[in-house]
Amino acid sequence: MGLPRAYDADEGDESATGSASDGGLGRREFVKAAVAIGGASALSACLDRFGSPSVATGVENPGSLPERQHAWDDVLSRDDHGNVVPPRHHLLLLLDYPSDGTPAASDRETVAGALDDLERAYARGNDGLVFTVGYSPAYFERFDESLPDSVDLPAPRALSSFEDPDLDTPDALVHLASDHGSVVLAAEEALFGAGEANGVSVRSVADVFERVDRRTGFIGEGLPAKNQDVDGIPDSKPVPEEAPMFMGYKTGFEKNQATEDRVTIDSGPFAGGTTQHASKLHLRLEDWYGEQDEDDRVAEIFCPVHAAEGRVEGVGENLGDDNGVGEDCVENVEAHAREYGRVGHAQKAARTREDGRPVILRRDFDSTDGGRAGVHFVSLQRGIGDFVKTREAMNGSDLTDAPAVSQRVNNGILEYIFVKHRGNYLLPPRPLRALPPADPSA
Amino acid sequence: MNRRDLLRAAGAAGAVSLAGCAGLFGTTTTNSREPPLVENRPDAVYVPTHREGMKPIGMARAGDLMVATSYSYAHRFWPVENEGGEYVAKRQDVERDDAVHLMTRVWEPETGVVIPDAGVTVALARDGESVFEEVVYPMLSQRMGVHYGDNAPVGGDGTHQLSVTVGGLDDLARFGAFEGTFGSAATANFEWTYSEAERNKIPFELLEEKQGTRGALDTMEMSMGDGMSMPMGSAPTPDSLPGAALGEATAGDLRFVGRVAEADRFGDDPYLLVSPRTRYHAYVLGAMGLSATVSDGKFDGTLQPGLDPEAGYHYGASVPGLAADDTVELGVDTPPVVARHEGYETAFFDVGPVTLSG
Repeated sequence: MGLPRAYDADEGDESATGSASDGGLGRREFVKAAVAIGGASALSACLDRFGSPSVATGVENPGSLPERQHAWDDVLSRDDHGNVVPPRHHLLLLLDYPSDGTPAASDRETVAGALDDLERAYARGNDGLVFTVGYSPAYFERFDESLPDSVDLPAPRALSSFEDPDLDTPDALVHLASDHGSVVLAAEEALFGAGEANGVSVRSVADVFERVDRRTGFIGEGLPAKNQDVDGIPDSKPVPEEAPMFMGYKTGFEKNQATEDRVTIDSGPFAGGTTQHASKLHLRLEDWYGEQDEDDRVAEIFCPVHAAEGRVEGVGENLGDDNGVGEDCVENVEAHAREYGRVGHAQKAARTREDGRPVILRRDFDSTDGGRAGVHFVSLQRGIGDFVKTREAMNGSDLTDAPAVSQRVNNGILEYIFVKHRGNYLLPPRPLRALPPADPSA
Repeated sequence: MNRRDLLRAAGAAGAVSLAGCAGLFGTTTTNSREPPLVENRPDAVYVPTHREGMKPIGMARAGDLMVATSYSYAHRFWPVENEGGEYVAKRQDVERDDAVHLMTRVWEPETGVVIPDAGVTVALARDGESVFEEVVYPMLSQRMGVHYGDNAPVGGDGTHQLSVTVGGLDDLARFGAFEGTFGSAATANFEWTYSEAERNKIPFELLEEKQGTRGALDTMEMSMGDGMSMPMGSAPTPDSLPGAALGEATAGDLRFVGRVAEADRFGDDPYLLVSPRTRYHAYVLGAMGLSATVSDGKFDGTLQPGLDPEAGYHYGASVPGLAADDTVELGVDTPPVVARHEGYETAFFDVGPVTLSG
């Protein structure tokens, strides 16, 4: 649908400024804060301040929607270069299904009904709502049967020799996203008992699931700059206004994302589904912005040649639909380690491309949960093995023969990101998204 | 009980507090700014402008390794960086909110072997609020030896939670009892009651007479209790390295000791083992690019860093047919990419090539 770049859908009008009653927060900070706090009061504060956004209701018959829960790209906006523009506000709900036994049919009906209702309440898209529901290996343990071989869903684990993350074991993960923070909040409230959303009645899953954690965030021009007064970002407020993420550069270029086809499970009872990895990273950008100049940053996030040749202007808008990390970067990564004393993040990751494209589809976003700069790195791939392979390439542990490149220093952006949580989930195809059995064919 | 026994016992006890610092010297106590650098510093190890003490925080286990933490005043240091193809020491001054220089030492408790180039992350929180979380620099200091460090804010007086995560050592060839160990990250946790007043009691002494002369300050001996000292990262004496002598060479305040190691743990072929160490203290040097050429075309290539219970941190390669009377030429392709405390920042940049002899 091609929204213009200046389109701003954070609620209300650009000139809205803070007032005494809300602690002087600007509009973007306020909406972000409301999403982070959550609950009916945050929602009503949001709505009081900006009014209810006028959002189209969804389909009459949710059964007509795509079988793939993760089929978002067709309904999301595109920028001038054809890159998918992710929704600006995100919420991850980590849910427990308290019963140890296999799910009761009534619970399945409740969940299926609630999810259908959400799809009736909001049109799918940036301006409405997109969401997915996934289930963890811990959830599937309750079944006698194991997951079919066509599903690659191991328990989460540390994926580098230098991280020591908490391994998440909720039963389910719901990812809600919209350009409107109030829509994300209202969807959450509706799932947990508000009774309605966007004027459409929504059944509650409050008797089926318990919320054990909620993780929030945002992505898109302006939001990181407006929300950079957090731990992990220098007080000099270095994040540029145009940056869609805290590190200062555009990501998710069309040609550097796996297609939805590539990440879709293509056989077995869960065909049409995908796997999701959701990690929580802390960002420590004091040195990123403090000790490094722009060329250093470009070299470390893209490739040293990008810095040497000045390939990146500003946040990288000039790159179009491709980060420009081509064969010259990929094939020369070891030579660059010796010649430049550093290697680029994208350069390392590009080593796992198949037919010129990555095998993971990023749906990540920044966060200020807990007052800390962070990233919720949500990624979709056919099997978790594809993510592991990509992460191992990013670890660059084969490049540390060059003395200047160490485990985490001068080794892409590893020095600045600290992995705190990892979790793996299966996003079943739509017909199986409500408390699925481990082996639907049994 | 010998030193190894003690190290083992200390390791088994888990987190124990350090018994104190034996290297104290009492004169001026100050937290004022550092004096200006010495003019015309030699391109060599030299006596810095001042000497400072430190305070221990604690000692705790991180997996199979021991971690000790301590702090001193925040001070300037010099990370080594590649600038336009050349390695340079780039001065880093104290920043406004830096309150301390936080130091971490990592060693294997059975052998006392100090690890100079692990990926070490330090996180500091005060009352649950994060105040610092960084991948800290591998560092070399005359007084503090081989350690990891960075200047850090502390967020004020109070009880702090300090955690040190030591990354797995997959980049290092590991021999003998170290084979297959230290592969994954492990974390050591400390509780640290900090006060600025206590920090300000750390001794600080200007060295106006001796500063700038070639030489080095004494290592600060740190007791771990019962008169035992913490390993500071000195390489074994040449005689106690495994294998037969291949000769030695010195250049640029570095000493290179070569051995032909033939123990099974080094593989089927003879192993060219090179143990570089600093002049004065024999500190081991991590993250250096070292290559070797052996006579008769037996070897011409890069040496890989390795960790051995007997040889400690060293560089080496399998060299079929290597014999004690072979001529070995060493080249330093990359100087040690290790941040330097004052007195080391001009050293080790212009070294070699050297030929092992004697």
